[in-house]
Amino acid sequence: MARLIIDGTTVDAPPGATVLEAAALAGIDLPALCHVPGLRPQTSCMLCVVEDKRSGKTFPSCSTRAEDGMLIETGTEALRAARKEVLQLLLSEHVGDCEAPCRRICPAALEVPLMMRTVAAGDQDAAARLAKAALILPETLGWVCNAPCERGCHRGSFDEPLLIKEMHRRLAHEVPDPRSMTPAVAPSSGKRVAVVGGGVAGLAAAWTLAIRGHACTLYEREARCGGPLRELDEAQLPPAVLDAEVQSIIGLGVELRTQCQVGRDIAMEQLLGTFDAVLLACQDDDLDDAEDEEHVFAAIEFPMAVNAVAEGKDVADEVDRFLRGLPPMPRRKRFDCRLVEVREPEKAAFAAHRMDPATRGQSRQRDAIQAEAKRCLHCDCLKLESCKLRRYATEYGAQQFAYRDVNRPSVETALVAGPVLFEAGKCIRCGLCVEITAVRGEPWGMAFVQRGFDARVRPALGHSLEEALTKTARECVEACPTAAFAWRDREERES
Amino acid sequence: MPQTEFCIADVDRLVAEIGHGKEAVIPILHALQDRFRYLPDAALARVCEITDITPATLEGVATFFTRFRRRPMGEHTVRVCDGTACHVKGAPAVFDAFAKTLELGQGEDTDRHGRFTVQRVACLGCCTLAPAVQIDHVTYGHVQPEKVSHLLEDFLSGEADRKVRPLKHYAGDTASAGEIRVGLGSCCIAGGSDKVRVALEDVLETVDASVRVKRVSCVGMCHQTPLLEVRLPGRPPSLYAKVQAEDVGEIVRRHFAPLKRSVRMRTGIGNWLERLYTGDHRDVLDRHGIDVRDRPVAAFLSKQQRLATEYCGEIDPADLDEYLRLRGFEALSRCLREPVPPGGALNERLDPEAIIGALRASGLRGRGGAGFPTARKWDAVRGAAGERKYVICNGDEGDPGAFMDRMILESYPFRVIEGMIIASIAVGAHEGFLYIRAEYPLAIARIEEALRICEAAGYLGDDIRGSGHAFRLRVVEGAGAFVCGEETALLAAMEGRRATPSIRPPYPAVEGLHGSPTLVNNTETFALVPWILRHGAAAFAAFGTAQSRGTKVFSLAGKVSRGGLIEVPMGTTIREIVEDIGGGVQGGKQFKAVQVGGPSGGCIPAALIDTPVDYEALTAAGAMMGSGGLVVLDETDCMVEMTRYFLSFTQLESCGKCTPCRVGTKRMLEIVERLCEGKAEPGDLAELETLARVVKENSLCGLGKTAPNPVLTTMRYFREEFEAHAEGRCPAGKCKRLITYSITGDCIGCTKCAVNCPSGAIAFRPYEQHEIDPAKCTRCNGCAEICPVDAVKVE
Repeated sequence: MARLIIDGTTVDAPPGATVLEAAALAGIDLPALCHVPGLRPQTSCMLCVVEDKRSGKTFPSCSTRAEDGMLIETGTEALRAARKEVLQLLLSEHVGDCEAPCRRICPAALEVPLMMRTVAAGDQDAAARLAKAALILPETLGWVCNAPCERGCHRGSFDEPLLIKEMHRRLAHEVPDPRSMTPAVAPSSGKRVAVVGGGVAGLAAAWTLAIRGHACTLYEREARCGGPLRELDEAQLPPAVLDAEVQSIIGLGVELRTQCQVGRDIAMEQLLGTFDAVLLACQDDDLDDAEDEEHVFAAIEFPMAVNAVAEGKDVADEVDRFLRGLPPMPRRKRFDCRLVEVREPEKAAFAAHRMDPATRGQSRQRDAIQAEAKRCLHCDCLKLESCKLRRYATEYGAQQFAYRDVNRPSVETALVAGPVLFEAGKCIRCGLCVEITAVRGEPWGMAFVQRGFDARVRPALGHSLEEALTKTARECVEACPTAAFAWRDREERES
Repeated sequence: MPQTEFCIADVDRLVAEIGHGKEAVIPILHALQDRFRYLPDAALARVCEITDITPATLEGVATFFTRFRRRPMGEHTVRVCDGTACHVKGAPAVFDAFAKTLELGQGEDTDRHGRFTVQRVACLGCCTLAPAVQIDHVTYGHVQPEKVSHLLEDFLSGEADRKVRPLKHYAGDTASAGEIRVGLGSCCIAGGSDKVRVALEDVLETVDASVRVKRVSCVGMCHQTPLLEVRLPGRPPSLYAKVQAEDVGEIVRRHFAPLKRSVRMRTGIGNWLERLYTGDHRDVLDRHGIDVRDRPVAAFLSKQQRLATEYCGEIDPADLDEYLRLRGFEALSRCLREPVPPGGALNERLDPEAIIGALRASGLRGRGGAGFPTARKWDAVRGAAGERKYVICNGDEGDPGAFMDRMILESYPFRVIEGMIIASIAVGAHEGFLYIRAEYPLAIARIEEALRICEAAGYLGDDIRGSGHAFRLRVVEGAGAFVCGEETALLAAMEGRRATPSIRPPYPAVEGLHGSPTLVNNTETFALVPWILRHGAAAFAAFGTAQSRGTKVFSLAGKVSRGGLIEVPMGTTIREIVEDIGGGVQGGKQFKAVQVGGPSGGCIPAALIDTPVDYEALTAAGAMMGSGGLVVLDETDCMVEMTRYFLSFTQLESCGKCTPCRVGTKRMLEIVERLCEGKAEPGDLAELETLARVVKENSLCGLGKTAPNPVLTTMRYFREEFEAHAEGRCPAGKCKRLITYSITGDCIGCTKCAVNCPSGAIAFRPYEQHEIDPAKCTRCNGCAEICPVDAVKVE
């Protein structure tokens, strides 16, 4: 038994326990990529470093035994800075996208690859629900959006980018029962919210709040909601499309007051007194003063409709947290690794496991959405949620491009063994799979080859991944801290 | 003759000879490599079938060490040394010259006839012969890029008769008419001393004297090799420097009369003819004769204290009788249950506690670099629980610019072995290993010879000298990995794993080789032990400073007049070493800095020339003792380029286990490369410093923790040079991308530069001012070196 102090808490560690294990007993979850309970520590990632104030030494906690009298600090400024730097070093050679570029670019965070997979699998209704949940006005946006997502599509490096905008327009348009796209509404919260402004942001906010169970009143100064979209002509956006989608929002029980301008037809003070929260989604400088009130939230104006949707959702989210008494969500962006582009020499390797062979050389399919969906390369990472590298990169604010002029390694052809995929470019050389295949007695197993910066992991002596993982595939996928090892066909996000 | 055809029976036979265990990986790979000149896949697969070695381990180890290859190799291996000393003396140009001469394509290392494979190696340990090149087992020193094709021809022409002629055996009385001593260390041999030895043996047959030729340990005056010393009874010794085989006759005739009239005639005529034809009327004696009383030699020797290198230049490395005559194994005898020879107070028997006590009193600290107190380590191993314990000598000296361990192993094998036997008694071990770099074939051969002699004489074995103590020693050949200087990595390699370090504790003293308590010490540390026990701890502690006792062996190389292997008391200042012993900077150039401690150390600037060499003082100056390489730099050396050199070394040698070192050293190197290429931005310097700190503080082992030292010290002392590079200037005029060559009006039109230019950048225009085409110029500096009127301007 060793008695030590970790971040001010006295911990009695069982004999032989490491500092990392002792910290866990104190409820401190130290970041570690290369450590999995039950396996020998690899001591390679160096993320779990802690400092012993007694000796002044910094060391990896995963492989240092807890000793009597240690005075451990786990979160000093210096340690956090070191971890961030280590993460940035790993990211500087990480090859791949976290979110697919389309999804990353979309301000409203439409799960494009998931939507495409859902369509390709034949479930258009589910795909339409995805589009509705993200875009709220999926058909309208299918007309008016300038589709920045399509400019990021990697398929564009091969032939033509996918028709993403067309896809969600068609999905929303063709869904047999539009009401089926509306998710279940949460039970009433008993709170009332005034949304001022029935433009795109206001509509998106009202929808979001209504879904969360808040009673919403939408104030629109004009006769119809839609703001600037109402100025478009029939060819740009048929009014009936917008009308139907506005109706889907009103249909959630939102009380609509058209031709009612706050400050003229109704006093701001009245709203402030009547509602639990007021959300300003209008361009009226006269209302600026109200923003000082604690329960007033303002959306920023965006010229692009899809940005306005995103802003409406975000501010509604803030209001929702406020009404539930939750602290404001820190606006920290989740870390997103980027491939940036598929370079000419790596195209074949990139496409190898991503491109449906039937679609090779096929340009966009305007009339057959299922065929079009099959053109998707599924650039999103297979471990979007469970990747520890992404998790810690977000937590420590690590940057992918912290170092100037770094030439990332080329994409390599992924190795496939049944349901398992191995992408070398995502390997951080932690050594866990090498350890697992060794201790479980794989006849061939995974090997470390070369050394130093060139060190890499691959099946031993030129064997296939299948031969290397006769019985340890599951364990390797689960232990792998990144998506170097991943299940090919498992969604980490619900559709 | 090695064969490249794969043959299963060969593999089976080799494995049967070596063993089937997991720890046999490296020996098996060495054997396969020797057999096939590379590692054929089928051979590796066969090894997995018939041994306990797993495929992942086998491939992991085979690709970790630089000695092993997975591609077929040429018939001969050209190893171009890129150690520090060679680097500053132009090794990159030598490498390029080989590539050009052999017409190697991009990324190729073997010529199309499959004759030569060219490799860059970390350090051959022949720093005073820089730049050095090894072709198979033949080492060439002072290689000039323009002479590379001659060198290859010489190698091929001499290949048939390259068989080393064994040393002549002299029967009976050795204290006869005298002896002629020839240094036969690797450096001396590379300088031609073995040819001198053969010539001497031949010539001596023709004279009337019963003198013998004696091979002796490294003299240390490597700048004078090959050295020949004539010792005759009753006469002062005569020393001849830089002797070549053709000079031997004349030297011998000065001291001895010819044997027969006919011989006298013949040699006389032969000599006369030779001179007539060559027109070379050199006065051999004047040119080579030096006297130990001469000021330079006296200066070189006077500040030195020979402890680890005792009897330097005097004893035959493999003569046990001589070693015994010179009180060798006396210290051991006192540690064994042997009758104590009569004598003074120092002659009590030493039990293990007393041995360790003596080391403690002596203040000896590990000579491998970190300076851990030796007694504490021995004590820890002695106190550790375990049936089985090991003693390991770390002879994997990998620092570019250091060759102390090689020289000690080659010159004083018995001393190292004696130190190890004493250690085995002190800690209670019965098995030991000497892990020696494969780049040191002579050291391996000498140690193996010494081990055989010791076994025959009962100094090693199951019952050493009737004492009941058992100790067996074996040589383990390294395979090319600097990280093995880190003891945990060395143990991993010995266990047949990739040489990646592991975190300490547990220390090897408690859990070492195969989990047993293991004592790992540096070669020099072991070599000092017999001296300390023989002369007493106080005598040792009398040398040096309060914290760093005793002496330290350094290899002094680079831009210094008298390079060599020196041993000085700790606390000697860098000024004394460079100016007094080394004779200052070569060629009248300005002293700029001295690089101490290799890639883990740093550059100490001229302003700090009075820094004493002890562990703490060097560390405080930002360098470190390292294993003891001292490379002198002059004004023409660019500190940013030096930083790039060291970083590229550690980056290549990083084992790749921990992130900070694996990726961090790479990112640091990229920044420094940008600086050298003029592509840097001012912000890069701050980023470099941040990275250096992160790598230093967060790497797993000593390699990573010290890899940023060259960056941090040079940025500390030569910051203006870094800033200049960030602005696109190289003040020393070294970084090729940042400089241009032009010819000034001083040109006399001699055409030497045009003739010499390897890239045809200078048009041949006799009697006119020449011009350099900057597009073709490779900035090899050849024109500047050859110009008789200094008309080549470098900007």
